[in-house]
Amino acid sequence: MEVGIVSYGHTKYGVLEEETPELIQTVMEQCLTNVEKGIDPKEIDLLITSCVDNQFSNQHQTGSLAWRYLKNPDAEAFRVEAACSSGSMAVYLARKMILAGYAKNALIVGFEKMSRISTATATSVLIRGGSPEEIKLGITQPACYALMAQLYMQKYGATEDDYALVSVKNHENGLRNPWAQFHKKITVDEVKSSRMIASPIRLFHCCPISDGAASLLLSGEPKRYTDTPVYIKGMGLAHDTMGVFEREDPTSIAASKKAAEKVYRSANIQPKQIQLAEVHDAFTPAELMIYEALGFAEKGEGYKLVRDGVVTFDGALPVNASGGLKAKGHPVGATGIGMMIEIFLQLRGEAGERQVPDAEIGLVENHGGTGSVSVVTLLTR
Amino acid sequence: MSAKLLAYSIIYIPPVPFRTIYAAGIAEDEKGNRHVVRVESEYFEALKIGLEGKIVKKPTDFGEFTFFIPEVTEKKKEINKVALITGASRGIGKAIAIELAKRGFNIVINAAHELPDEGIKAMEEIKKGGREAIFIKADVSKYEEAEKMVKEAVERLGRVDVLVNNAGINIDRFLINMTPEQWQEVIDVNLTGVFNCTKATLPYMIQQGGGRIINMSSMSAFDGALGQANYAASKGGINSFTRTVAMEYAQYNILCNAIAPGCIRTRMTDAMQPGALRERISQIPLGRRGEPEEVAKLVAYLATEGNYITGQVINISAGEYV
Repeated sequence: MEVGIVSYGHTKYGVLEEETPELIQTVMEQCLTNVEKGIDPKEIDLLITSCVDNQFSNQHQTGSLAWRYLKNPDAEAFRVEAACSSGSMAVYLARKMILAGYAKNALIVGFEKMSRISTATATSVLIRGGSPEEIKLGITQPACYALMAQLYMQKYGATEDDYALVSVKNHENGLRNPWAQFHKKITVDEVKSSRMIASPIRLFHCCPISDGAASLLLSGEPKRYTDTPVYIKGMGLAHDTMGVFEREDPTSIAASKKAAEKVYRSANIQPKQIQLAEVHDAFTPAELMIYEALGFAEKGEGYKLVRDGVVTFDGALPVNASGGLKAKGHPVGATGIGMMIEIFLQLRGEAGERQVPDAEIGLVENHGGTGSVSVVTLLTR
Repeated sequence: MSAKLLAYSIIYIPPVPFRTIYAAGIAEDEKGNRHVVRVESEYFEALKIGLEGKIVKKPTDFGEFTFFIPEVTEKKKEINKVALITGASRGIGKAIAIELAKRGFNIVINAAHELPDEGIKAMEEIKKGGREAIFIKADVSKYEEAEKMVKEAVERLGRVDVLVNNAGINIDRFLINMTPEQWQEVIDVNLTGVFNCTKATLPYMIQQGGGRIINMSSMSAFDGALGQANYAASKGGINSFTRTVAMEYAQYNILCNAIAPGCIRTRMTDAMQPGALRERISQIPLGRRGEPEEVAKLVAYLATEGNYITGQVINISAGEYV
């Protein structure tokens, strides 16, 4: 059996008027409406919500809240949390349950209402994705990535221009995505002169605080609901230490490397076969390390892909054609699901202006914390 | 335990409940074990990859924290702090320059005009005391000149730790007789000048890990003064500016206070009609004018001590205003 994605729902990302219940309801209704051959809600026996923090959602029991909108009293619903990788984690779990025969069709709903609280408070919520030692000392997420970015520059000779190029590329891509939070072209100089957040990470290296929701319908019998499903060929889940300081190599996102290796092995494919990818550029220097983790570049050479234009929209391997977390936005609980929707649309040829030609095989890398957990998903037509 | 700093990041937006900036670091001890550490802002200037130091656990209000304390070299200890005093060629400004020099500061004396003999003597006195003193001519009411002055101060003396916004003028007359130009001129020097110099100085102070800004206000900001609508308004503006700067930059360990002197022996009170001056003095509980040196000592306290004072307007008026 192969689990396939058969439908989706997606709101715009940004500062939205809708509160958590409306966000959930909207993407659930969209997902059901978008099923090409139709579906009775009673055929959906599993419902998983993905959100990171109750201070954002202002709601416990979001599984039960989503259940209210499904109109299938027999469905089982619960919530999954794995920091920024919550969305992929929910899909990972749903797929396993379908493969194991515990469910036939699963609806995954990711959302976050981050603008409910101030940026300062959001920072103190998001820091909880780090290790207890980092949290105690107030070492924020951008600061953890800053430590990684500084070590990477020192070890491999990447420059601040390379980091800026990732932001520039993803903002350029965001121009083509109507769901993106930012539709603004930026330059390397603008990135390098933007406000320092945690040296050497500047404002334009950072993803925004976002509201948004996304949903996916997974099925063990995808052809029953659409003639053009996108198949989840493999998913890898792996961990690394929570703290950057305790990692064997703080310049690597080892959890993503391990997760990707699991996927490649199980699907029997090579990294060079990947035609496009959505990766976790919450802080853009990390994108270079992710290229290496996914096998797109040798260790210490990720920056060459952005310097050489390989990963631009017109390049040989477009990465974050959606605009990435940097420009599309990062409503944390929705992010992993939104990334999969991007590949789903690309593989079906429905990505509009940002369509990557002839895409058949794509990858999603979605990690939590600063890489303490990672889920890598391989999607094909 | 001895350790080496492998990486660091200055956190400019600290999470709740922390308010002031600090650096995060990864330090490696002698045994090769890595630790996540905090580095306090007083060491920002020393921060570099490979910096040697010690890992120290210290209690804080938020529990026991692991700090990295860099080895402070002898050279570092010898660094002299720098104070920039605007309008320092005479009067209270000059007294502040001399007092801060006595407390170990190298001094930048600013005035909008050429330095008078009084100012030249002050510079000689400071230099005789073993401190450096430089004069920078600049009209603080013009942003470009203020910016250029601060840049030159940092280029010549290496830093700026204390900014005393002392420059001020008065053009007294009843409002009905005050021209818009006379209103504007006083506002430009007294209030806009404070904005200009503070804005130009802040980036250096942030980079240095802190600083002190002391603004010269006046009692007239509290109870008004006949014939001083422009002057009193400018000083009232300074008070609100002071509170706001204190709130905005406390996170960078920059403390901002104002001093509101009463009747001080300056050219301004010397110019009063003798009768009016005596009448005013008779209203002062201590029965005399204050000396510029007495104001300077309060500035020196705020510049060198007063670690827990910010956003305040402190009266020095011998009880004239209570």
